[in-house]
Amino acid sequence: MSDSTNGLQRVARSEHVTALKFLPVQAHGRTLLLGRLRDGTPFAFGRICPHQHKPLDEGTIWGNEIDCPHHHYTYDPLTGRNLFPSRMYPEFRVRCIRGIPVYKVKEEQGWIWIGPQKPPPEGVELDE
Amino acid sequence: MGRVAQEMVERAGVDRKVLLDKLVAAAGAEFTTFYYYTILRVNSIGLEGEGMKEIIEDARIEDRNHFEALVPRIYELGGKLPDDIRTFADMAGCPDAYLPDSLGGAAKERKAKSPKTEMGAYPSLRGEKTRDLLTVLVEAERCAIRTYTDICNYTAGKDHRTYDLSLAILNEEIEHEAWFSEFLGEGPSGHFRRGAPGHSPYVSRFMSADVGRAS
Repeated sequence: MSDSTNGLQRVARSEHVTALKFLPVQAHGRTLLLGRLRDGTPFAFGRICPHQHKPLDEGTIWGNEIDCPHHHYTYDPLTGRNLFPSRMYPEFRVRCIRGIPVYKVKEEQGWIWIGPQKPPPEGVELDE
Repeated sequence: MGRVAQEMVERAGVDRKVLLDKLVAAAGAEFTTFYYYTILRVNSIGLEGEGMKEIIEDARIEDRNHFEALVPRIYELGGKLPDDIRTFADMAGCPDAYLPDSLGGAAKERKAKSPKTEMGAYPSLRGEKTRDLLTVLVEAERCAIRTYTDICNYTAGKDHRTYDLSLAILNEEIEHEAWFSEFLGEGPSGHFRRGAPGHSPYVSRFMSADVGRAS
């Protein structure tokens, strides 16, 4: 279920993407996860938590943060920046924490489209 | 090891390995939190810090109680604690509750990584000591709430004993969060202090040994 138009790939029907559970999809040659914020905004991100390289598939949205099910590291779904434990860690520890890749997402006519990976925010490093 | 008890849990649809991973991670988080809260309590000093010391101590002892209460269930289900405490700490289900920068946390390590920085010139990146300390505490409790909510959700209606224990721990973690949140000015907790330090009103009935039990 994938059409390419301007770097966007059609990956899922809108009704299959919920705020309750992440949906694995294939896009840009890899498995990504799709979810929604409380206000319904869809987002897409890489499925591996860089903390201990475990899958985020069984994670949840906590507040408006992606919550890793293994050690509860959380990430901003729109930028990929780590939010917890960064907001409570000493600065030198924060510098060691990596973000997750996030992707441009478009929702149109009942379909979710995933675009290219967004550039990480300043100061955020990603795994290769 | 309780053979029938394990069988009943599996028959109810629980993946015992998944559950054990969750329980060992939770026990690891309690154990490491007990350690880090010791440091946070020791550093809770001064006019504002002294007022928080007692509730940090309550939370610290109750987290140790949670560890004590979880361990028998791990073994009943056929699991075990890791042989190496370093492995155990790495498996902990919540991040370390480090002493914040503003209270001198990890200054030594930072000095070693930044040899050009003058002694004593390490910036206080968060600022206010009391608020920083409370931020660490409240975030640690919020992580614990997520942990036990997850275990309760996983075991509800299937593994009654683990559910009951996890719910008891969740009750105490929610109270801990409310105490620290109240200090942060986020609203009243609605509670008053424990009758005795680390009383564990919900979890004490699960502690088959008397260690740490305030009765």
